[in-house]
Amino acid sequence: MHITVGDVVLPGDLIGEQDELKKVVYGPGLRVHQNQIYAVTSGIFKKKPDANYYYVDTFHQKRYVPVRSEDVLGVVTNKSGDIFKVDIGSSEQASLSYLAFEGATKKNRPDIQVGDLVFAKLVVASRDMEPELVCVDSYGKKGKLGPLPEGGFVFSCSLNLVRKILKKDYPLFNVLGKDISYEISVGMNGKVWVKAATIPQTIAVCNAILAAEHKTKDEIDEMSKQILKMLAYC
Amino acid sequence: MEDSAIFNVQEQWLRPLRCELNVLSRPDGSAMITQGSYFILCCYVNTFLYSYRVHIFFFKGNTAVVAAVYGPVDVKPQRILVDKASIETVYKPKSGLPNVADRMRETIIKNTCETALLSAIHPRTAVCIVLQEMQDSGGLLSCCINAACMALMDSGIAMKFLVAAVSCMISEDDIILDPSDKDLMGSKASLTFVFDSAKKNLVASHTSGVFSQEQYHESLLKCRQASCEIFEFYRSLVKKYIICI
Amino acid sequence: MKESILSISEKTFILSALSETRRLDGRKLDEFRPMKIHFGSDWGCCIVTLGQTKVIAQVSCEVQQPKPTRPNEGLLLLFVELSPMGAPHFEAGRQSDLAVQLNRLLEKCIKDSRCVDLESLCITAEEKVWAVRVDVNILNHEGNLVDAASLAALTALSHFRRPDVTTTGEQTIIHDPAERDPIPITLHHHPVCVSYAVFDKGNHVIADPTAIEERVSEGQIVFGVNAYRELCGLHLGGNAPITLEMVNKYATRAAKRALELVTQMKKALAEDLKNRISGIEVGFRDCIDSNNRLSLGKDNFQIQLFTPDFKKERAKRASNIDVKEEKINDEVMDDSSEDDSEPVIVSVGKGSAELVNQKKQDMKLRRKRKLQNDEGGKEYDVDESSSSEESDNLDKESEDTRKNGEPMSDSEIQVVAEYKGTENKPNENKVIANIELSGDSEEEETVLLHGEDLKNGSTEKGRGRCPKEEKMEGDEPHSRGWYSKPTW
Repeated sequence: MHITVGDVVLPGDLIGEQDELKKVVYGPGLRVHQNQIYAVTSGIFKKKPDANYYYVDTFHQKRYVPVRSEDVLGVVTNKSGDIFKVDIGSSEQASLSYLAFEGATKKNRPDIQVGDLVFAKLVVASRDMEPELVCVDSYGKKGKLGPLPEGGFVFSCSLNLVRKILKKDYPLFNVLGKDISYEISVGMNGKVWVKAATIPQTIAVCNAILAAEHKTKDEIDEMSKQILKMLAYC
Repeated sequence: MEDSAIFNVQEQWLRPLRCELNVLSRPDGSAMITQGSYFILCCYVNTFLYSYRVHIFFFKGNTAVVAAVYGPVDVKPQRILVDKASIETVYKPKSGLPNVADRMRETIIKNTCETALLSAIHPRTAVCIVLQEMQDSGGLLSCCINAACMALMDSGIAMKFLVAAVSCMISEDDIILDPSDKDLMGSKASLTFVFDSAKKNLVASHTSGVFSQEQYHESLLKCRQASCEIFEFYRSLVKKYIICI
Repeated sequence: MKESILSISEKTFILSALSETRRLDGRKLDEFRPMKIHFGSDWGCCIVTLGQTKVIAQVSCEVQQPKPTRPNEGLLLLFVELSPMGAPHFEAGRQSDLAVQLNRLLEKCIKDSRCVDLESLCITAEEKVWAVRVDVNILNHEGNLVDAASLAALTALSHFRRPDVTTTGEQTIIHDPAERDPIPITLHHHPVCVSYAVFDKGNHVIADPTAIEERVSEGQIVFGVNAYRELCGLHLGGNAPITLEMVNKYATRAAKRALELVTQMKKALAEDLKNRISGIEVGFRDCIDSNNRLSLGKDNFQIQLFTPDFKKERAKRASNIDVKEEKINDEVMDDSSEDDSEPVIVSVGKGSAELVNQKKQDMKLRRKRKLQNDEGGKEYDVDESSSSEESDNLDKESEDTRKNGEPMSDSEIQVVAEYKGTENKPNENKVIANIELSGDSEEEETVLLHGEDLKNGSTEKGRGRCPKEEKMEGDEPHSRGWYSKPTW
């Protein structure tokens, strides 16, 4: 069996042999075992256009496994000592230090309650260690990270959908943005937070995102128009 | 004469599978499998003017199972394994409390899934597999294993390979593949084999009854052949779901 | 696994949406999710789907010794099992509080209402009786487990067939199903649970809550009601203050819902039986929709502006928006032809039960809404049976106009006359029902819903309403036309 880029692979499918001379990166969904490359999840075998980077685009995934440097959205579940515990949907709750916020000092602690939402970056994500979050970049600035403002609504969706809507050329947000003004923050862990001016608008944006999961770009245009039309009746 | 010919054909084949992935909203991965129902044999009859397509129907039970997978998730302290994920299996019969046979089924499924999963990449976590019997018309164990495998695949967790379980029975003189509960009435032994998708190696084998070594080997070969059919089914299923990504 | 913590923003969003009478999944406050029933090939096995909540029930039976206190009655055992399949925080093999509560609610509703004829399950008094066991397993928990579980248990019980038994002197023979046709269990009536969630100290009450709504809610009201509008159980949970008026009001609505559910259940049972007799395959094969896309990503999302039904309706409306009256009449016809698949009026016996079909309901709702607008929201709770009676007339009215093509005003007069003529009818029905109730079921548990309001409703409100209806009919002849008038 010969597998090329764009094919459907299932776990256990032999992709090919490892080439010692070529510099190739095997991304998620692939593993090397005795110089042979196998798929470990089912999906489409893909290659990044500008690099020798191969991976499998899994067809469905809901559970998040932490990956370093990914931005995630979590719920603060516990405050103890110097750290917050944050539920990011992974097997273990992530820890977030009091000091990992912009301008935070031992005296000046950030005002975060249990149940608040934070948008943070994973700095430690190893299989053997507890995941660790920060809300500042390496310059000590918060950028887009930090606790999310009050209001809005958060919901979970599949990881595929998150990856899909975060693509740079994905039209959904622009189409919606023409008619509705909204804030959105999308965590790689499948959690999306949306805040618009009114409740129907917020629901409309959430609805549009969920409905986009199995739609092509053209269908998305159509669907967003429909949702905006429906919104007019609210 | 003709009847027997058809029956011989029928015995060679597995009951048709139907599967739906992601049937439940709460688990990370889920699958509902039915195996059986009408067996449709399709023949072409060529006459001078027309060619007909004839469907012949048989009824061969309808085993149905739904499986759900959570994983990798947090693990209870007493079950924690430092080098790999601990796998928990729960099998729920549809009526009454689980009995010894159910517990054994649970263990077989657990061991099979443990082989198929790459549990070493998620240490100190748990993978929880829950199976619910919906209908038993023969071949419940193989249906459970197939459903568990599909649910694992649907959850997107890393697996070494997929597995396919095929059951068969040994009657007085013959080996019948994928017997229904009615067939099993006249069985001397029933065997279930599980194969992997990579090299079609035997992963698990569960037998009950009396049989000779030759019969075992013969049914192993037969089931192995039949397992290809299931792997084909898996592939076509995934392709169908991938179209809509 | 622990249940993940609910964020503050989710809580506040749901509450503030409710204060605008909105729900996440686009339903109206008193709207239920669609319900489906699938039967397995065994007797007494069914899957009930309520929105995305899925429940499987199986009935089994065995011969046992009866209780010494009730020597000639069979036993009915109900078990609700929560396996981790339903939700990650459910644990296998351990009775959680929720499981105990569900079990008790089901026992209240089905066992304590004595809907199963236990005496018919007796083989020989003091020695052998049938013990019927109902196992309910939760497959997917997306809220309102009580409704789904109670309906599944009831459907499975009505579907179940026990083996036939003959006793000859000392000997008892249990016949194999192949030998003698198995016998169904006798059910006197069909009670189901209908639950509501209470928010904001009783200011907002919603029907059929989803999982997240349940978690935010302050309390819940669960009614066990049968198709004869008899209350078979009432459970008030949580810490929300619940007044008597609220209970009365929602009991009336629950009764209507129960009737719908039972009618749907009977239809499904009849269809299954028909299939079995004619040899068409039965079993769970059909629950698998092999042609769909990822099954949860269909038309129905957990968060959406409107339910798909509404969308269809909306689209239809939009396309016909400025067509003349003839066209509209056609549309009404279309509607009715669609509704033909639903039974229009089904008398479930004992004179009091009738199914109000979808169209009528919507008309009724429209009327209610209209009333709310006109009378400042005070007279929201229109009495059910009088209005259903009216909607009958309303239907007739629209039918008349359709058939004769006559101008509205002619039929109006006719209708008003007709309406007055039938005014007392529901009362009569009630009386009949009342007599029968006190005759054969326990008096102390029987609550007849809104027996008295009926008169007030039909005399006070009824007359005042007629002209308004006409007016409404005039300016918006579509059925379900009230949707286009934003009230929020």
